[in-house]
Amino acid sequence: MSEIEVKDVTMCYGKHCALENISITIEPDKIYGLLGKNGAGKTTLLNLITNKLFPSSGEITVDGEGVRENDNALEKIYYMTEKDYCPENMRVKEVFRWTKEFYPNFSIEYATELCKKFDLNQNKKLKELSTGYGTIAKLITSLASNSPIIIFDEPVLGLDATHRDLFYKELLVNYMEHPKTIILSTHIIEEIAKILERVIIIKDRNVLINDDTENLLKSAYCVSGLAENIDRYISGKKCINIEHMASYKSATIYEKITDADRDNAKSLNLEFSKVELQNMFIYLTSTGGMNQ
Amino acid sequence: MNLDFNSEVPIYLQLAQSVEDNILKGVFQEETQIPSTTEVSVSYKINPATVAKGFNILVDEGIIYKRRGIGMFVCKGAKNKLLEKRRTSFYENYIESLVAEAKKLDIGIDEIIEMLERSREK
Amino acid sequence: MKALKVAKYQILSTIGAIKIYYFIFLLVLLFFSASVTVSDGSFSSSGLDISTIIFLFVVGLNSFKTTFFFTQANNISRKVFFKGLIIAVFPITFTMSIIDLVINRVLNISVKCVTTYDMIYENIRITESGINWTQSNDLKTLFGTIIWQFAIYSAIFIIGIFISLCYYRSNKIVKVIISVVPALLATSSYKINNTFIGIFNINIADIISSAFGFKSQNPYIGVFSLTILMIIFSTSIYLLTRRAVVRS
Repeated sequence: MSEIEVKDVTMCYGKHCALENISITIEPDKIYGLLGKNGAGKTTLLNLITNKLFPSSGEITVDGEGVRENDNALEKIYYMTEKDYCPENMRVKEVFRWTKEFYPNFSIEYATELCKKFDLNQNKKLKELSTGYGTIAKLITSLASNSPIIIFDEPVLGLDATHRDLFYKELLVNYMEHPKTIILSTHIIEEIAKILERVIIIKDRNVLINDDTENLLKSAYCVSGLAENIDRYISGKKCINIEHMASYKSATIYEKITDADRDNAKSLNLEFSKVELQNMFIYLTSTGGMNQ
Repeated sequence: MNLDFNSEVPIYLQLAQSVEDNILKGVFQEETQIPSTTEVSVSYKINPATVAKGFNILVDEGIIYKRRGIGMFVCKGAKNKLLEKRRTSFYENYIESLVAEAKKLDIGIDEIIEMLERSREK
Repeated sequence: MKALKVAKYQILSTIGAIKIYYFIFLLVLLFFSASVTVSDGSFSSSGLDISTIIFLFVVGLNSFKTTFFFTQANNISRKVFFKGLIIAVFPITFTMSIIDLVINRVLNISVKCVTTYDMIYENIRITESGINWTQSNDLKTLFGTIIWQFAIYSAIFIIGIFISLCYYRSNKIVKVIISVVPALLATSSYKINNTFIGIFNINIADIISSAFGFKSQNPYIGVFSLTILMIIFSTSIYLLTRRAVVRS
């Protein structure tokens, strides 16, 4: 049961700031999605949480203890990085052995079992693995670490569909057997949409969204029909996207549907549909999209 | 169990409805076990909290109950409860939308009745 | 303790290189009877300890980055990384000091072989008839050799780490400065020394000789000065590591 608190954190490199006044509470034992466009600051935030970078101001705590140079707090987190930090001559089974030294709860039997499922040869050196298998080696190590908090930065990079599916399933099994805090930072949004309990979206150096997935999806809807009718319907509403198709238009409205809206739509012969997480993300983070 | 992820209906509700359908169809017999939270979560790749939410609706309505350490079981008398519930909402869920669709297609009430009788013969 | 685990990692990753080093050295010795003649050939130096010094300097240069990245992968604080890194130096250098001594004495069975320690701190009298010296195996010499070698190996290892850390943390300009300045100092050391004597009346060469016990032929002064150097460089390593960040 470990909670992460990001308190008013700012990260600047000279004049350029990657993150400004970010405050987030990551509640224990939930699966979080950390989303943001390329360069939005997701990896920067994760590097700050794991003591790889030091914030220009603000503090990050795990269970109330600051993470800065604090091994007590840091050993509660296993961080699967996008970059490779292990020596390339190390064999997979050696990586497991060393990880167990630093993460005593690491289970070598479980790691071996996962290697069989993913068809990963433990005797191979890291440099001999393809991109996909390199990622697999890292995510098996993460899952087997049994830390209270696991952070995955791009966990399915280079993985084929079968392996991605297998990863999501193993993640869920692991999560249900041993509840833990999981943070998935990824660009592959739609595949994991149903797995996420909460979503954090970073945009323009700030946290745009930090909410339950369900609430986020309920907060917008799609309405479609004849172009002029749509134009009439959306006037005065927060519209975050419009698709044109000849005389047909589809608009995404960032509001909850009211009964008045339903009547209005009915009279204008418009149809409602729901918005998917990936589209929600694209519309909210596009330049000129919503700013909260 | 069929879950349509593109549907308007939230997944946890679809899940609850799907379990209900299977109870009514007789696939899940009373006092037998239904798929566990783990099994549903992993098979459909859905967050366990969502699955739990769907199951909790059914628990609250007395359709299923939890046997600690084993799993979820169908309550005795669940089928009847569901029949009652579904009968009550039959009008809203089916009749109203049938009438609305018929209106769209310009099908009159007499025609609808004729169609119903035709289907009864089958 | 986590620092010990980091030290274990550092030691284990160095052992491979050490094995290869000794293997090559003994191979060279065996097939070429390599030696550096000092004077009339009545004794020679195997060059082992000089080679070990160079070897450990290179090992030091290579140690920082891989071990730092590895500890970052396992979410270890820089404090603990630093402790482990420095702790690891001493078992390695002490072992090599003993191995080098053993190799030297074994070689002395066939050929008279001096160690650098002997050359600096033992009485090697040069007379008209030649060099008069026998390898001393009494406790004082053996102990002095081991401790002195241990000190200089450790110091050079730590300096190697320090230099690679400087490189790691600098931008291009500073890297060039670090590369060029020591070489400049080394080549113009004689001139610099004379300038200092002329202007400040300070003979730097003399100070260094005294500090390392060359004149007084006391190895323990040398060991003490080396220890001071180690402390200074280790502290610098700590200060530079504190804000080090992983970059490719």
